[in-house]
Amino acid sequence: MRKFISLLAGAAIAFGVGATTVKAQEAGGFDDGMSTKFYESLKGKKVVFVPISIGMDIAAGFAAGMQRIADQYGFELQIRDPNWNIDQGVQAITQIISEHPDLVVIQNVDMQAYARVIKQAMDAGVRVLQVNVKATTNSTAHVGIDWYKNAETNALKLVEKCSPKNGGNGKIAVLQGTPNNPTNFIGMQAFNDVMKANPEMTVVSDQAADWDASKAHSVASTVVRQAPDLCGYFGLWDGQDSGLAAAIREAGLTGKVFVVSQGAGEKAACDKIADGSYDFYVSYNIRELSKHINDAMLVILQRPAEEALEPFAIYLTTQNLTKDTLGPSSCWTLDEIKRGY
Amino acid sequence: MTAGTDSVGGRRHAYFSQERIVLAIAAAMFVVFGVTLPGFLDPGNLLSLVQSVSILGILAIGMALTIIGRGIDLAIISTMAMSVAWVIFMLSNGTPLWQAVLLGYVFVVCIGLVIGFLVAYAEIPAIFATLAMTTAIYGFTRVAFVDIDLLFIPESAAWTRDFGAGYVFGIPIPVIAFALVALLAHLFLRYTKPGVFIRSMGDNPLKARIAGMPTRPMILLQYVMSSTIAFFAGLVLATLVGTMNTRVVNSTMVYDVILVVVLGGIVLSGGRGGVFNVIVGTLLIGIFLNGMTIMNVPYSIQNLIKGVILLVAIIIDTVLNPRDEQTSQQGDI
Repeated sequence: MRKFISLLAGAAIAFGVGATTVKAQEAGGFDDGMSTKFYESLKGKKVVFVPISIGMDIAAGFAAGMQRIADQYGFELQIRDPNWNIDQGVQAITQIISEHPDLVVIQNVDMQAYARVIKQAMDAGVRVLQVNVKATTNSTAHVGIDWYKNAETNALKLVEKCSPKNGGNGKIAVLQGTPNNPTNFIGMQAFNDVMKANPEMTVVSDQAADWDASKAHSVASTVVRQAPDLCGYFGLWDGQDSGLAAAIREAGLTGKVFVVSQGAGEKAACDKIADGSYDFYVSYNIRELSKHINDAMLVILQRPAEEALEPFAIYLTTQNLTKDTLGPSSCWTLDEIKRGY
Repeated sequence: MTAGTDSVGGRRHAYFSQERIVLAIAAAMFVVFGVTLPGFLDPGNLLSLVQSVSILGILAIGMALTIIGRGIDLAIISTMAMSVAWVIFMLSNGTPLWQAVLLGYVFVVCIGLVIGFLVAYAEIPAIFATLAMTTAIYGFTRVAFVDIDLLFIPESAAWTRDFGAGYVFGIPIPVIAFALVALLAHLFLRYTKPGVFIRSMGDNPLKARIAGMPTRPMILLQYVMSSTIAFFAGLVLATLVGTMNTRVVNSTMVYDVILVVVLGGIVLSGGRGGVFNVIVGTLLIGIFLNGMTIMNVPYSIQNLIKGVILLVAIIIDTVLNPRDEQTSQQGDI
């Protein structure tokens, strides 16, 4: 009997000690009333990211940012890369719906491609965070860029620099990418609106170059020869506009033709601003956009799965970069995002 | 050699070869633009006209070499983009230029050998082998070498820009590069034994083999050459614009290259045509694009006109060069 009691007491002590350790671990040292709840709501969750292509600088930046918080907060991040192929993207999302993860993050190729599957996912109760470009369907949340505002900023800058009212000759040229791409057509809408409001401006050339720097180079070198007194050039993406800038440099017009461009603000863009290729650059800094995406993810993952969430959005504030405003941290590299900014 | 007048693969028609028709169209377009468009005949504009299609022309010569030998290299853009992307990637990580270019070249030779092996020894039709290789090259390079798809030449190697963006005696270097590749390819096809072999193989592979020509090694050579030319085109392109965008692998650029080749009058079933055809095709596209840009014709209408020109060229080709039932085989285009 005594033996039994001592055994019982031993077990009780052991249990007690065990219980205390567990409690100490749970608290993680200190609980400010939210922190434990926060960590626990994230632990073991599953997030799937469908980029346009993981090799794309923007998508690689997003993935690096997400991976960092996934590692620190202990949730799982999977990446399904359709590599520019819309069919594969649709298939991947359909497959993901049946896996029912806690959140799927979708980088839209355009406004239509994934609209239907996003709706399917929402109907099936899978939470969807759209990034960069928004589909026509609303989902749990969207973190993106205001393409209209970016292009408008650039167009207004050209008016400021080139309008006859301000002493210019009003002659500008436009270089589109592919006309049906959302950055392109939303941007062109802004450009056309600005031109309508400023009829003193003349668009001497409006061509497209398929987002291809070498095509941009051919078009621009012809255009600047035709209109050597061109005042400004309106670009829509820095990857393409590097060809445009090269043509202007070849023609000896760097500094004379005012080039406006926009892009993700990767390190190479800052180099190009510094060497005078782009005179004015609207940067949708991916380092910052990636932070917003992570914040939206954390908010969504903390809400209980059964709670109905009203759709919300975060639109990025942009940076306007010129040679003079360029600082050491104006642009980003992929390594920086991986290391945590 | 000009289509129709050569002993190898000579056909009945002599005068209205497609090459001559296209040359006539190009000349007519040139005259019309010259008269109607102010500034078109300006020497600066004419140089930029040729410069803008030089890289396309260089690639088209590589493509033509394979098509003349009864093959096709759909992987040519992938080879160009990925090898040069790797070179730039190495430069950004501090590899010396000569070493990066040498490694890049070794890589493209390997690509050429693999394609050649698939076509010559595994006997996979070239169109399928190279189509599969397009994604294989892209995927392999992305996994093994380059983790980003848009590469900028680093500041430390900015001086290489003098290569593609430079001038010699007032002529842009891409134009000189195009002329050089065209000349070498012409000499190769006309005056070397392998050149004659490749033309014969293209005309009738079985007969060429019975005649004792080493057809399989020649196919290897053919793809190593097209890959080498692709690499060279890529280096010119990258140093011209300062970037290499590997997304061109997914673009329609390879069709533009085929357009130039077919437009110039090189028959897709092989054996006929030469470098001159490529030059004619390239010039036509150059004049067309330049005129359209000066006239500021919208993008989609340009594409439409380009498509119509290609269709017309193919229809003329089919009428003038009917399929040869004796030598055509499955897998031919």
